[in-house]
Amino acid sequence: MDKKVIIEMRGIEKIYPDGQYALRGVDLDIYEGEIHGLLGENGAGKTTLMRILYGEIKPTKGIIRIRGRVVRFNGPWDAIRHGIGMVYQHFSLVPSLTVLENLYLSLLPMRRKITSRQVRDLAEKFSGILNIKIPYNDYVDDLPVGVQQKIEILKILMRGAKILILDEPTSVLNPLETTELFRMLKRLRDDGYTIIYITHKLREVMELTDRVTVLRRGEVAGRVLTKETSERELALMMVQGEILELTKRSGVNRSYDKNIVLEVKDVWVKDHRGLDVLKGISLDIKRGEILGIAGVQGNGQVELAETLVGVRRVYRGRIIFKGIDVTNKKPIERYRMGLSYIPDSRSVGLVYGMNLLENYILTKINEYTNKLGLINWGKVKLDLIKSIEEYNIITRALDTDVRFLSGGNQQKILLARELSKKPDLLIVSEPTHGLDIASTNFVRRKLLEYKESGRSILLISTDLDEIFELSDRIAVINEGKIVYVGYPNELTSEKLGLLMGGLHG
Amino acid sequence: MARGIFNQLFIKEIYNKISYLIRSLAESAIALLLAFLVDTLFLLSLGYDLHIIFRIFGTLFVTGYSDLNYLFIKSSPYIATGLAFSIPMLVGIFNIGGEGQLYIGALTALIISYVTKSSALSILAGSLAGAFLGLLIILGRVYRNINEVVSAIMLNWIMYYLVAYIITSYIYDPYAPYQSRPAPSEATIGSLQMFIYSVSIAILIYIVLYYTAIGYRIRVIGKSYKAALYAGFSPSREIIYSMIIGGGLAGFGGSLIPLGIRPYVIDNTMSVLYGIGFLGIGIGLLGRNNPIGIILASLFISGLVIGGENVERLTGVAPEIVDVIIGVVIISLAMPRVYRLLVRRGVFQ
Repeated sequence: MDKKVIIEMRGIEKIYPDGQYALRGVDLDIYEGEIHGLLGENGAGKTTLMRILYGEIKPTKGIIRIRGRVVRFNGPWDAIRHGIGMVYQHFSLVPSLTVLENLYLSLLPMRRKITSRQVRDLAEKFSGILNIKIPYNDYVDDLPVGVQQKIEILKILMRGAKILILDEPTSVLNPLETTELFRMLKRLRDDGYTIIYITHKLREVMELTDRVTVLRRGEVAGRVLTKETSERELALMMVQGEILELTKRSGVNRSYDKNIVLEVKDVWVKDHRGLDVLKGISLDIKRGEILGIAGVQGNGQVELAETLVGVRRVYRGRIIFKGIDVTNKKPIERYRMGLSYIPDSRSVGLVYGMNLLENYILTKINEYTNKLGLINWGKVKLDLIKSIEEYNIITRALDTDVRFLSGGNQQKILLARELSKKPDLLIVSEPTHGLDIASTNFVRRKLLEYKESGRSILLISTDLDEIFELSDRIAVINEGKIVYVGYPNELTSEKLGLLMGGLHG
Repeated sequence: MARGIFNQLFIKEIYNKISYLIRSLAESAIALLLAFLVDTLFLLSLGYDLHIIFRIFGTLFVTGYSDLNYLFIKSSPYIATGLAFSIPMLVGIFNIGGEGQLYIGALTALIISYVTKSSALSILAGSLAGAFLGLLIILGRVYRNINEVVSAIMLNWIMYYLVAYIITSYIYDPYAPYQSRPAPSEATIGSLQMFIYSVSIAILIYIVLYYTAIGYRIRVIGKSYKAALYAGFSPSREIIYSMIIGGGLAGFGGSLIPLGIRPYVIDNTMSVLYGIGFLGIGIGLLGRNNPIGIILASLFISGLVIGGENVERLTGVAPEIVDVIIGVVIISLAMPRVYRLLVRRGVFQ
């Protein structure tokens, strides 16, 4: 490596006002023209470090040098002036404006008198490297996520960024879009751009990056050249000392009882705009199986879960749960019949601003109230402590606001609450989204254990590894339709990717 | 093992509660000091010298809390209107109609007292009248999407003139026609009785909020509407309940006034009633929407109000200036809460 160091971060420390250490003296070197992977579990400090580099938050201690000169950023605009751009997990595009309007908007602060003609000319310069025909007049809302991401990157390039920071960019993409993104990033690198790639996925680091810095609990756990390392080595760095317990792939379970728990017959549902989001879904889930629903985000998964729970109204079709037609039953009635739901968003499944005890009874309050409606908090306390032990939930106290728990612990609380009701069918959406390796394995193991006890799980996930690892059968959803149902051993991830993309593999 | 974790978490919980209490008290103390500073600067700028300023503060804070009877009479309706604001606030409804609900409660209680000569029945009737008004406002909001603030403000004025009209036209005192006939002596209540009623109701509301299913649902809806839907609650029902309770509380506060405050009448300027409902908003905020906090806030504010009356009498300072002094104190005490709200919304880094 005879390349120049472009960014030097030295002794970066960040302590949040509540006394929490996010970073404890991190050194980071980025060479010009490389793809640098920043790897770590959730809460390792990757995003905090990059938000410091982008000027969004100020470090408590430490210095940053860009091309050898010490810089001090008061805000992202300073970072942009030094050629640094950031692509967030959630895009910063205005969904109700067109692409051209969005590009115009992002350039306006730097060039007051720019015309839309000039915006187009500037954008065209980058269309080759991005391999995209820019849909100037389309509304951002209507574009596929992959294209939106390209527009987001285009926006940053047009502002003159030479150093790109990408925060978990593949979490919203399907496998095909991911491949395309990687090709594009490599082209950018070959053109002299420097890319910092934040992720917790080992495979992506191996496939894409030149060098890797591994963070663990706010400290650097290792710096390696990608070609001199392996997934196993990186994984050990990330968890260091913690036992890496990969869940064993359970054999395809074909010996389940043939009883059907849930039957969905040709269900149609409209969204708030009156458009069909579920177009004739038919499914059945048998006792003692995990049915995995694979699909790219936004193809009707959330709506399907909400429909099965009863939050959304079905205008055609029927839902039969344990032999009873529940199509028009309220959520609370379905819960009482033995249905349980863990939503993909933890801020829906939990009440932020309320403590552990209060959250623990959210969906099972009737277990803890007497005839007068009085809540038996003593019993809640005892049950919660049992769950805290069983699920190894780390909290400072029982009356801690759940907002202050880590994502993994929040998910465990949700899981503990819903599984403790012993539902006949658990609907669970993205159970390990954004969790670290240890929590992910724990959650998956719990789900498998629960299935072994003879109950059923409907698993909705965009994580294909998860689908393959847990499911007894796999269904693929695309644009509100189930396009495939089959056994895991009949599928490859490539075929699955094509099905998810709407192509028949 | 289980025992160990239990004790550890239990101790931590008590520790959290105590540290929360200490932090709240410390915040209030600092806010109070700042309020003094601002008030002093304000008075200095008007040309008062330090000697008089200290006398004003002395009178305001010492004499306000020395007459317990008067303190009870003042604070009891405030406790009720503070709760009347806070309960709907918990589900995100801004009940600015406490004023009107208080008026109708007072009038209803007075009229019923003539007939039944019973304080309990009169208070009950007054509370029901307030609850009915609350229900009216919230039905419009839930089923017709009528903004509750607008309809509540309009109803406040309708109630104001309705009460004044009924007093001077139907139930006026023949010897003093600008005011109503007094409540019969069998139906009147003493100051301590008044205070005990209010405090018991506040404690009852506290229990409902923190120890019953309906209170729990109300709090969940206020914190996260989505989570409430997910949990299978029906938010509109709880929202309606909260406003019935809120209106009922304001009506209860109103009914205490003609029954408990000498000479047990309402006059056509409504001077005994005016502003108590509005001040309830400040008291609810100051008490952090917590019934126990509201009791304390009511006592504190009542003391200031009484002290303010004495300041006028003893030092000759204009009543408007006393209002400013008290206003600064209330705003300062609300500041930590506002600050925390802003931090949560990410206004400061």
